[in-house]
Amino acid sequence: MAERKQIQMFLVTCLVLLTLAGGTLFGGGSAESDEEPTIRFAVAMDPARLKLYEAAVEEFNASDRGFTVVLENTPWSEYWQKLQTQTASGTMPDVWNYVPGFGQEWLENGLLLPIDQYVEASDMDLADFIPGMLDFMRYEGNLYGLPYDMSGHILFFNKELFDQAGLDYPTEEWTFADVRAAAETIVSEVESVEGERVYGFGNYMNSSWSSAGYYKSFGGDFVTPDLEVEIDSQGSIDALQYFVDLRNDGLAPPPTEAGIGDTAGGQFITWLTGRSAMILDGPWAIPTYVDTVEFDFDVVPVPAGPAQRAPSLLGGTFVIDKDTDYPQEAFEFLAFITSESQLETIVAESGAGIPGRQSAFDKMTPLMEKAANYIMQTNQAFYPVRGSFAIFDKQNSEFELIFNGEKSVEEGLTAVAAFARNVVRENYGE
Amino acid sequence: MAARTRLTPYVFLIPSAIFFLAFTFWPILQGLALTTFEWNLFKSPEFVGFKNWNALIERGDFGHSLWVTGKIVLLAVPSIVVLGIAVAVMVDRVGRGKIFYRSVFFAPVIASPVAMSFVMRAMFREESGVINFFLGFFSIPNVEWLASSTGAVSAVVMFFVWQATGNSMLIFLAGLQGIPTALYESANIDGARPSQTFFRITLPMLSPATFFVLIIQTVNSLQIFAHIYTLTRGGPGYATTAMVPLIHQTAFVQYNMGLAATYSVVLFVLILIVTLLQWHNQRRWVFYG
Amino acid sequence: MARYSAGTNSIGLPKRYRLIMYVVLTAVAALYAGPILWMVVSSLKNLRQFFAYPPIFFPRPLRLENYAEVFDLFPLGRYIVNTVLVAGVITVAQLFSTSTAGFAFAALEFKGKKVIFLVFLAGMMVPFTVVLIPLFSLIRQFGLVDTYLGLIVPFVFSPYGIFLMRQFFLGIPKDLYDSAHVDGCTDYRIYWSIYLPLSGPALATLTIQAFVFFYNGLLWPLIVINTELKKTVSVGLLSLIARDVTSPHLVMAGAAVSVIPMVIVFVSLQKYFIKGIVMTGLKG
Repeated sequence: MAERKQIQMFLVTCLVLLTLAGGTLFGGGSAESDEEPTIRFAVAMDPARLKLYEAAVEEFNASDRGFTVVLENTPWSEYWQKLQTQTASGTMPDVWNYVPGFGQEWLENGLLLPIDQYVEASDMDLADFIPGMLDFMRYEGNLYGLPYDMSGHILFFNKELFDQAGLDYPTEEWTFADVRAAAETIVSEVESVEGERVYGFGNYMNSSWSSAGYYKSFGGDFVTPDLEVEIDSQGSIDALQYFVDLRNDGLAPPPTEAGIGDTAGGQFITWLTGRSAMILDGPWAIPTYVDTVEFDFDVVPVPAGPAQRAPSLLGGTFVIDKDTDYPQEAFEFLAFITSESQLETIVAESGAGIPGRQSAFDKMTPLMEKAANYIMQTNQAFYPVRGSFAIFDKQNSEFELIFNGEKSVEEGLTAVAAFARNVVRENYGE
Repeated sequence: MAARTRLTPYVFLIPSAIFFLAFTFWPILQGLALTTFEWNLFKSPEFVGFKNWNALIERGDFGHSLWVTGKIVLLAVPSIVVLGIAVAVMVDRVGRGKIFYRSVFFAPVIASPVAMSFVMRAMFREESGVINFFLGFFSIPNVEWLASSTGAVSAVVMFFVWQATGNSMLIFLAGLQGIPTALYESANIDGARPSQTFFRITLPMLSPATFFVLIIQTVNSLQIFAHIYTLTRGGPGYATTAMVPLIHQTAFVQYNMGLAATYSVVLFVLILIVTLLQWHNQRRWVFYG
Repeated sequence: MARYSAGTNSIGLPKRYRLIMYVVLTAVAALYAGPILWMVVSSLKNLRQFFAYPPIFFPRPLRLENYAEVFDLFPLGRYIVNTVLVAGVITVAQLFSTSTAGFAFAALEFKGKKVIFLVFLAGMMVPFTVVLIPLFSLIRQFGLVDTYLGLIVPFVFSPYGIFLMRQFFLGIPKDLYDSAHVDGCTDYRIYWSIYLPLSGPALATLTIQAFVFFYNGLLWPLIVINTELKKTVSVGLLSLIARDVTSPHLVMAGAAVSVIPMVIVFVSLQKYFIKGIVMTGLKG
């Protein structure tokens, strides 16, 4: 009897709580409209960088501009999916983190707000921004966004392993052939590091936007500005084969240790533990490596291939949604977040990357600044097309099979190229 | 009085029915309708009739994912059933420590696949992973788990089975409780060996539980997603791209909503058919005491 | 009434077999406990120890700072609170909706009963991806994007729960219902005062299953919630992937924080819902 009463009491309480909870959640959940407009600002940052953006947004909101900014963050691997859902349901953020290639659909489908008129009305100096990055944001005569950083690849090398093998350090003139030779020497000269195997080269060719640069280095390309797919050209095949050979000849580690299949840029285990002499990575990794690795390292530009030295340039920008309710306010925030002082704090000083404005360069660490200059000198913007995102994904899948030996380079690249041609045709006609 | 009684049952159904109609039924209808449209999220949906259905037949990826899903289901479900029974029988017979063992097997059920995928990824690494380390004790060379096609499928199945066994064990434990002791006693008197008791009494009496587990786990494994998405992202290549990962990729990487909806509908029909087949079959082997 | 076995270990199992059984059981248990134990061990390492080979099983010193660092990086505590709260509300809502429906299907007679039941059940077999985008559009129309309510609303209807409650209620003798009816009780009264109080174990089972399902759920919270502070644990953990590249030991700590408390809570509550599963009655 008592038990029955208890259960009844419990359920009644639950129901009451439920209604209360539902009530408060309903009320508290939806954005209560103050008199102030709100701008939603969406980014895809890792936790350390996110903190800096949170601080920036707080600073902005505290300065009483007549509107508030709300920060939204999604991890990079889910970011584009999230944007698509938001596009489909008309809930796009007002200002958001755009990356050329990945975001091409939004640019070319007219979903971004042209900012030329706002730039002219303000006294913004566009010349301070990195020209290659601004070019990414120009389309059919209009400007659609402003860069906050720039990235590319550089070659990292482990000084201690080079010393042990009795080799000279890589230089700015190095070619991929030099890399291969050095890798071979190191593997044969250096017995082991703390009882574990040594590799000459710690990762493989990246399968997304930087692949274009590597293809070009060997005479191939990804998709040309004439919309020709060259992923299965001989040059591209040679490029990929170079890296596959490194793996097959024991100069590079197995796929899981070389970061393949890891979505966030790869976990280069052998490099982190000092067992690989070289890797290709971006300047964003410098602060992490400075903090965590226990050996001395340095950087040089990406080596030249037989055809040319042409690593890819990319970077992040911020754009404004075409249908934003508050374009003026959105631009004001955009200008703020890409201003010299903000870029200095968020990007340069923190070591998160290379700031999109050249005036902020001097706030980087010497190593970062060195990397920045290399990239500015050698990297070429890659040509983004609609559907790039899907092509990168397909390419990544094929690379996985190529590097674990289940497919040959030709087979894999042919498959990617066929897919890419379909995508280009669907998006651009012809 | 009579009028009131006739309405009452429906009143009881209202809470469920409202939410069912609004948030399950209506979206399903929309999903169905979506199969006849082409929609890449950036332009308005375009009516294309049967284009998506044709594409399904022409493109290889649906068939391939069906094959991958089939492999996973055929490996995982029997494992879950067998392990579930084996563990349940053993745990049931343990005197002390019953709660301890039960907890150990139930803990994986609670652990979130996202969290455990980090651990699993580290464990399955070829050179620095723990699993290959232990295999080394048995002189087995390093297995290429996540990077090779067969290894990746095995890893996904192992992950899934590890997580699901606890649930099935609980069902079987309940089933074991329902077996009358009298049966065992008379078998004992008749001098039956333990294996005979197991196969002639325990298993048949467990058949309703087995049936339940079979259905639930088949439906679950046909829809496997989180384990694949977090462990291999469908790779290497498309080796672990089962049906739901494929649908997810078609929708959110290739921006093809119409095709994704079409795949989803076919998957639904498939699940329905498989379940109905199992349901029909129960007469042949399920023994309701 | 037949005597039901509560632990068959007393029936005819020779000592030899028992020993083998213990050994096998312990070995299998070790395999199952392995990943979780490895997660805890790894969460106390530093970066070098994490990738060391042969693998380190007892990191020295135990790096408890990892946990502090993880909380510093993410509002992990907030994620957990969010998830527990929302899961709680969903569970209560489900308890209500499934027990009422289950009661109707089990104890009452009405037209269309079988059809409606099968239709509800079919809901269990619909892959979530079918409804994902339409559901999101719907939520948006109600203004529930980025709200807790938006997270809750698709899950109030639970075909699995209805199935469970119906099976359970079927096990309650019809005489109870009939005599109460004869005494003049309305169906509401019968539900509230007779069936519901008896359904403790089933409710407990459902509670755990609903709670775990939502706590571990990924796809829906990912799409619905934008604001950092409203995220659920699963979504929050995804951010850890970015960190996985350079701080996998911190990732392990984060994973451990999201897993271990849940495990402890449910392991200590297990006796309540084990009974529930037993009483569910596995007959067709």
